[in-house]
Amino acid sequence: MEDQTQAREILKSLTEEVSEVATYLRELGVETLEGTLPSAIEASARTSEKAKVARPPAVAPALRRNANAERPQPSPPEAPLPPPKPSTSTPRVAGEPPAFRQQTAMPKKPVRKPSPDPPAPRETLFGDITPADDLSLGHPGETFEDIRRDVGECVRCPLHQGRTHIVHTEGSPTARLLFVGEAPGADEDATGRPFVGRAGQLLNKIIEAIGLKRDDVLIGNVNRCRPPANRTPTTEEARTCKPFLLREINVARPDVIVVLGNTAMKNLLDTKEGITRLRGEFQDYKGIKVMPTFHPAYLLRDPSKKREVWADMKKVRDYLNSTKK
Amino acid sequence: MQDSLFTAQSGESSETLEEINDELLRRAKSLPQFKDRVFIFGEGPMRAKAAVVGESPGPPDVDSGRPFMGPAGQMLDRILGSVGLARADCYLTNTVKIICQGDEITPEWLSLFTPYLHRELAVVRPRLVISFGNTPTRALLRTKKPISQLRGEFQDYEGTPLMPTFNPAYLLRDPTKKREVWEDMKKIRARLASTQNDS
Repeated sequence: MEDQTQAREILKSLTEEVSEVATYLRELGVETLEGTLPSAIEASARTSEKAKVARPPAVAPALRRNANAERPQPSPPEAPLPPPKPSTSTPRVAGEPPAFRQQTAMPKKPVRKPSPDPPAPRETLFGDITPADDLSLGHPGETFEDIRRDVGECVRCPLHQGRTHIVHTEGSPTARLLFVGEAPGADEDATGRPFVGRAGQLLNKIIEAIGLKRDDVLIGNVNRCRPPANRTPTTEEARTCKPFLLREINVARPDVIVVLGNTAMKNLLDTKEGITRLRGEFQDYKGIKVMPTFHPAYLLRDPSKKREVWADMKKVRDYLNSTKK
Repeated sequence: MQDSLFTAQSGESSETLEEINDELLRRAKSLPQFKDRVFIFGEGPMRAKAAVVGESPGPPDVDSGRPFMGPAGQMLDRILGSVGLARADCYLTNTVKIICQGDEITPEWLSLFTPYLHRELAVVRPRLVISFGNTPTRALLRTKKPISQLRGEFQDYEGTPLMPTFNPAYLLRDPTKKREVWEDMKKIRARLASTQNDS
């Protein structure tokens, strides 16, 4: 009984070795295993660890099945294949998996990633499509001006019906700090500039409090048109407008984004958490530090919250100083 | 600034794209089934070398706010590029302007969106139209014939040559159809070359 278990263990490890060697040889471009098996096992036992990558799934089961068949009475290597494969070419080695046979038709060269089914020429027309990445958000190499031109005289959502001006993001694309609010209010709509009303004046003070000037930073909103009666933009309105801000973020790649208030935060971070929970700690947007804090308009209603905003802004200042180039 | 671009010349549509899109948006948003939808309108130059008309926007289009983004958009870039067309040379739009599943598109939807597509193309006045897939081809040509029957031959769309072919998203699912699209694109290349001096 013990012998049998031991034999099974040996057989199992042997099978694994064989399959690894097979993978290894295949990587080297070896076409047949004829007569090379025993020495190859010895020679590559040391290197078999490296050859573990990209083991074709077809190899191991086929060999294992064959090995099990040999167990009671070692059969000659000419034994028929377990899965009889209709093929015009004569199998050169017993137990040679189908994938190998395909390999024999290929030019002799190392094959790193074996593709069992090489695509027909017609399928490579127009090339292969790689999974879309975030760069496909806008045009490669686009500028703020390009994005603004794409916004155009926007009518993509109903908010345009009540607007006087589209309020674009303001500031230099080289700025290290971006403030993002929710949507323009009456003053912004009238002037076409973000954060120019009372809340904007408070934001200016907040910026100056960390030793910066308004000209040093970028200021924008998720939505660029003023909602009627300053209501919160709907999910669809935010989703319609947000891509332009995201494209600007892609262009500017600021070091820190400060999201002002719950709506802006939820739209940028795609979170269900509230501002009270997330403020004060850096969050992440595609590798950019994001600090959620209260909206200046909220501070106008509840000045006691200025303490928290000041604490949050100190973290932003410290981070900017620590990463200064 | 853009007004001059859209200013009508004699005998042409006197609308602007903004007016058309705004009217469509107002009508659609008044219907419950479109209330919560994000609209993706067309983009590209007036008098474009080609207008590319697809079925409907996909999720990457909504995320980026532009038509023909994501893998299908990449495929479109390759298809256009194969005959020397850049995306920027083309006016890109969809028949239905909101994200939807193919089977969601009902005759009622089409009867809402199609008139705006006709008006849109009347403003853009492309030199030719490439109609990708069944939905735009049937809408533009007012036919029920399937794309497999219509593709490969120029059809007449209001005096503008229109080439129906398989849509890029379909090629992603069935790459064997690329051969046919390539054949169609070669005809487009020839047509564009022969009409180069006409405009």
